[in-house]
Amino acid sequence: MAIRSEERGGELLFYVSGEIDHHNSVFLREEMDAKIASSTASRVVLDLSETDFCDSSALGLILGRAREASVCGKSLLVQRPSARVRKILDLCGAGKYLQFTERREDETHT
Amino acid sequence: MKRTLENRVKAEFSAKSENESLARVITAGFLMNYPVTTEELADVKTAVSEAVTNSVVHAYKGREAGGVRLEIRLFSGGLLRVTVADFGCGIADVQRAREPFFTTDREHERGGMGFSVMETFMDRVKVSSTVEKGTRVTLEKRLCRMQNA
Ligand SMILES: Nc1ncnc2c1ncn2[C@@H]1O[C@H](COP(=O)(O)OP(=O)(O)O)[C@@H](O)[C@H]1O
Ligand SMILES: [Mg+2]
Repeated sequence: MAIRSEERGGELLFYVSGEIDHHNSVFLREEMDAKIASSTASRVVLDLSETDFCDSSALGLILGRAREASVCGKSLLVQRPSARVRKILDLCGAGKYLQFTERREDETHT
Repeated sequence: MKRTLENRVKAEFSAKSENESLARVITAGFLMNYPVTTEELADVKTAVSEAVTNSVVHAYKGREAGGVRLEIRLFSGGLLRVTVADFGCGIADVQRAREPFFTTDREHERGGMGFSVMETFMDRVKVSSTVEKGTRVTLEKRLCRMQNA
C-alpha cells in the first residue's frame, strides 16, 4: 500500500495504491486526517483507481474521512474505484453517504 | 457423491494486524495451482481477510494476544473450505454479531460489515463460538471451473 497526496486547484487529492485492509487503514487514517486538517482546500478527493484490494476496513476508513472532511468544512469525493471496491462500498449503502466520480487525473483541473 | 480431500494447508500465526496480508497471500498461493476465476480469487481473499481481521481486532481485546489458525481445504468437485480460528474471548450472541452494522468497536471505525462481506462473497458462512474459548469461522465456496474435477 502506498499513499501520495497533492494539493491543487482548491482540491486536496489522495492517491491510494495497493491494498486497503485493517492494518493499512490505521496508517492511512493518520496520514489523511493530518493533511485534511491543515489543508485550505475546500474539497478532498480520494482516488482509488490503483487500489486493487479492500475489505470492510475500507468502509470505516472512507466514511470516517468523509466525516472528518465535513468537520473541517470540506467535502469528500471518491474517484474511480474499481468495480470490486465499489461493490464493497455499496454493500453498506455507502453510495447514499458518499459522492463518486469517474473523472480521470488529467481532468482534475476544473 | 462422497467428497475426497484433494489438498490442504494449515498455518498458525500471531494475532497481529500485519498477518492479515499474510493470510491473504497464503490463500492466493494455495489457489494459484487451480483454475479459479479472478472473481473467485478476490472473493475468497476478501472473506479470509475479514475473518482474520476479526480475530486480530476482537478476539484478544484487553487480554494477552494469542494466535490465529488458518486452514484451507480443497475437496473433489471444487469445494473450497477455509476455517479461521482463534482462542480468544468468543462471541456471546453470534446471531446478533452477524447482523449488518453490528459492531462492538465503533471507536476504531469498524463498520460492522465484516460478516456481511463474508456472506456476500462466499456460498456458506458458519460461525461457532464459545465465550472465553474462542471462535471458529468456516467459509465455503464452490469453484465453478472445478465442478467436474
Ligand atoms: N473472532 C472474534 N472474536 C470475538 N468477537 C468477534 C469475532 N469476530 C467478530 N466478533 C464480534 O462480532 C462483531 C461483528 O463483526 P464484523 O461484522 O466483522 O464487524 P466489525 O469487525 O466491523 O466490528 C464484532 O464487532 C465483534 O463484537
Ligand atoms: Mg470485522
